[in-house]
Amino acid sequence: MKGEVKIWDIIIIGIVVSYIFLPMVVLFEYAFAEIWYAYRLFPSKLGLRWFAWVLRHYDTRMAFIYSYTLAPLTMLATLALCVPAGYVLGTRRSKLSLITENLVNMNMALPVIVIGIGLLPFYVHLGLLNNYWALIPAHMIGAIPYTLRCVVAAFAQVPKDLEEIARVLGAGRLQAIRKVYIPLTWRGILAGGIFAFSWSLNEFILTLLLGFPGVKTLPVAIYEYVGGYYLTPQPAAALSLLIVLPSIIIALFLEKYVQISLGMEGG
Amino acid sequence: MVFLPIVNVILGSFGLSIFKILSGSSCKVTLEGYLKFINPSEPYLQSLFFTIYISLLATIISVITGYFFSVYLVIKGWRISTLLTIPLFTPYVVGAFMWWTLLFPRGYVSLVINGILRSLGLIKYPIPMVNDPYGIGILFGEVWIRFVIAVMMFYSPLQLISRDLTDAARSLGASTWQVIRRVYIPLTKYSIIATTAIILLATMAGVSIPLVLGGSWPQFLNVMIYLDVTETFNYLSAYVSGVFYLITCAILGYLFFRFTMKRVVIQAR
Repeated sequence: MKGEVKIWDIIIIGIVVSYIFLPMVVLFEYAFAEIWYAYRLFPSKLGLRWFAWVLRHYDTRMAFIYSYTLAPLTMLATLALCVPAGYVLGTRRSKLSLITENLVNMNMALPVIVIGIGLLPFYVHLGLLNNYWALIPAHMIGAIPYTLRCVVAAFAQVPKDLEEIARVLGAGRLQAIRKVYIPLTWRGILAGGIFAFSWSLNEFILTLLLGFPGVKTLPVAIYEYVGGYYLTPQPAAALSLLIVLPSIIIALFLEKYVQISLGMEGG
Repeated sequence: MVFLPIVNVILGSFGLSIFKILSGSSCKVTLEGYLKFINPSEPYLQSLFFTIYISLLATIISVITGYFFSVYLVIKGWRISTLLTIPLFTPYVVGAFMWWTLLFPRGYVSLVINGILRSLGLIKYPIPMVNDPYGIGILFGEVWIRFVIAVMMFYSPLQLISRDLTDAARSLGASTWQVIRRVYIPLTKYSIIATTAIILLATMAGVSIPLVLGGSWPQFLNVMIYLDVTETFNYLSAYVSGVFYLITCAILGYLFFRFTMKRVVIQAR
């Protein structure tokens, strides 16, 4: 049966591929459509006008800058917290570490909007609303469980004997981490970092609640174009491509070179 | 970082505030928010039912289609292409916008579906497929993302099932449907429960898709929470809705972790 391609296979795969890709095709159409008359099915003229438009406008340019600076900062802050925690949780499989891990995992089941409305009074009280830096911990809340899972799994897979051998041969704890753990766990740490990066890049509702209108990231800027009464799909499509294409490139790169499968949410 | 906001939501649903408690100010416990929530003349209960109804529908469609597509891939011996997972790394708000362009009255999908229904004589006027009162737009947007998640989650456990079992069933005369019913489904039941729970949870919790594709009424409960906080500043109702969300998500989250752990234990044996 394996390898045979029948007419039914072409129909099934065709339906699934069309279902998955049709929205992407239309996104490209809108992003590159310079002239599209309402009564026509397809654009009359294609070009880069809307990309130039979104890059020329201060608001969208700032959204681009905010998104692509918040994401690496969130990634670094999340890794700074998760790598030491992952080392402890991954190498010492005690009851306490399992409880801690499960408590952090439970965070994945919490609706982001509920966390958002719970955080809002704290941000108001501390004067952190519309603050760029205050969005980093907010983005970290969603990113930590995914990153921690990757990092803990990476540390747990390293045979404990290796650290013991290194220590017997005179290595200090830091040396053992640097020379034994890091070379064996970098893929997991990288995956965790990319998860945090991707989470922050796609995060929408917390930024809308805690950062808007002072700090507007790309998803919030896109929502502004499509969520109100006056819909302007062309700039929204151009902005969407600026966020979707890097995500696809990162995912393909990870899949090909690091063998990591990436899936992201973000409210 | 998570504990405090949750405590704040729970206390807030009773009209209490952490800041007032800490500063020693007087606080009065009230059940007004809960009474308002369960009052049928208020929009919250209807909103909760709409959320559960649309989320369940989207989950059932995604789980069934995702499961059968995974079985199909496994039977064929094909692997999932990374390109097919595009919805997983597309931000929800972008996914919702993409579906909006397909479902608005001049969108391709809307034109085709309404055209077919009109040519069959089933409708006189085009039905609205986005920002509609039936939740059609939300369903399209949710299923687009959840279908891929379902395929990804079902594919691995299905692939682990020994081919000897399916070959033995077939040599005993079982049809493809019988192999699915008697071999694949019983061996992946924990995966089915866990996937259903996580998809239902994600569909109920996601805000972007109902916010962009949903109608002005009825609305998803999380959209109501958002509007309560940002437009009417009705924090009490938002907190009460938040508590209902927390309870639902805690139950679904428990099911997910319980059955994924069970699956891991069984597979390890």
